[in-house]
Amino acid sequence: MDEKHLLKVTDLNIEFHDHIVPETVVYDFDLTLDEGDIVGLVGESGSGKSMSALAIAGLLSRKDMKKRGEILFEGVDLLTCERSTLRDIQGNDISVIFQEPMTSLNPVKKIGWQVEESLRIHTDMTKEERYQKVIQMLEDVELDNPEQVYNQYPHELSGGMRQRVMIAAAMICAPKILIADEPTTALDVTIQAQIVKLLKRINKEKKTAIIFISHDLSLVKQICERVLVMQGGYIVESGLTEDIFNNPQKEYTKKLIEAIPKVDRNKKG
Amino acid sequence: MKYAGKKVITMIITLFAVTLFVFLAFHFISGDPATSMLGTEATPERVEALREEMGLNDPVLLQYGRWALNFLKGDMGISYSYRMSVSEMVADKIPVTVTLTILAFLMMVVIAIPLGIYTAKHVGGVIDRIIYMINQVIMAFPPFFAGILITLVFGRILKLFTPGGYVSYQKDFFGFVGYLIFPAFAIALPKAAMAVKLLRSSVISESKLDYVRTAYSRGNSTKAVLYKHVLKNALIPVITFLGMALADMIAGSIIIEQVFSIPGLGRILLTSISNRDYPVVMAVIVCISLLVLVVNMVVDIIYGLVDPRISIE
Repeated sequence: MDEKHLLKVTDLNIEFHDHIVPETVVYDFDLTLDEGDIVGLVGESGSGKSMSALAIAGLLSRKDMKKRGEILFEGVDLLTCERSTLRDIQGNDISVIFQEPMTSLNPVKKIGWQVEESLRIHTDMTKEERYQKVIQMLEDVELDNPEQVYNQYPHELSGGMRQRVMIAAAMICAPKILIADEPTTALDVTIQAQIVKLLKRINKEKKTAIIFISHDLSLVKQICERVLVMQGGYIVESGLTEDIFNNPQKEYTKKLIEAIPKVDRNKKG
Repeated sequence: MKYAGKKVITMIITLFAVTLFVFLAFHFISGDPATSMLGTEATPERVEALREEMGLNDPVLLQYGRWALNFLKGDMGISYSYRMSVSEMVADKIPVTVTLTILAFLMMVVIAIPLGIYTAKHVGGVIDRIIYMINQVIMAFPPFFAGILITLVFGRILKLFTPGGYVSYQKDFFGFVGYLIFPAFAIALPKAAMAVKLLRSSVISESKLDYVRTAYSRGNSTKAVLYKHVLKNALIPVITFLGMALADMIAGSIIIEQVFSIPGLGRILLTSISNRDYPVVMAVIVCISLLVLVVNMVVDIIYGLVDPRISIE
């Protein structure tokens, strides 16, 4: 049964020792993910949500890290496997989009070059095939004039466009898991809604499992079926989004829910 | 095209300002070309007569105007002390200084870029620390001292070249380049040390940026991240430095030419300054400033090519 899961994280503990005082960031983290799932990871900054996600994406420096537990992706432990095995999975099976679309793209490379990078690394496609695929992908993330965007540089695009480019680049190899680390935090509200809608559509159409990290519970409520609430490195509460919203068990979760700004329609017509 | 036009106008204004300054400076420092031509034994009447003949008693701006007008006509005048055409004298020396500078620049790039990348890749390693220490020492070397040291080590002890054995480029081009290698090395060394340090820290700080994490998330190896993503970004500040260093090298070659007895622009500049031979001084200054300005323009263009955020318009 267990081997059937797409991703199974068991008892993950991460500590960093690159400073004098050891910074422990994640304790006893467990997560299972199957095709088509959308799981939310919520918590304030420093709660360990991003760190857990970076661990799953294989982006933590192995040298400075003390770890326990396992992250099994289709049976391969991403914490201990060969680096080359990990690289074969990164960008191909597991992709990431980051919070800051401004700085997450290389400023001196053209958009097309960056979007097709995973194809260059993981496939034997010809230049022409890659070009077609990139154009199709840029269309898919609802960018106008994909041919034009292909030849532009990041600074020539708006924040929302850049995040779409990031999504296109992450989705180009049709990964099984997409990790979205606060993908909308740096964007304004209307763009946020569009990006969330886009992620939902990708999840539905391509069956990509999504780990959606946010401190914004209202967004998580819109998009995720399951939620893990983190505080101080621990998962303090987890379950179906509905249950957690209707019946939060922990004080911390209640506070997070209360922090969602409410629109009171009765007050001002 | 508009850009090129603008640049040329800026260059002309700069040249005008530089030459005017030098001319004025010459007017105000002590020393008199007529005296240095005739010698200190000459009678005041003879000196005065010669001053009148050379136009040295005219107002300084009139003198400058006369020089500038002749210069624009392509006439740089006659050297006071050598009694020969300045343009001939200078034209002969330009290739020497230019070759010396180009050699020094190439050496700096060839030394600095691989070492900068290597030390950035192996931060904190033994070799990184050794290079760091050597770097600190070399950076503190004034070029003339580096020149003396190189003469001593490579010329006197290892006998790899003959100090003072300059070969004219008209006679034997390869012998000429061969002689210039060590002087060029003396010029390149301190600059290369600085460039290594700059590139190292630039690569290190670029490696911490978000786009690097993105690059790793796509399955790039450390090497691919460095060469395909980080390097181009890290080179941007280094290009600025290399440009400044090149301009500085043109000017700095003056001293090295003296140390290694190379008859380039720097040497005639120094002799003509002490002889108060300003037609020559002015011509050399124009040459050096022109070289510096052209280098700056080339750096600007390269900058625009490397960094898409900077448009040269």
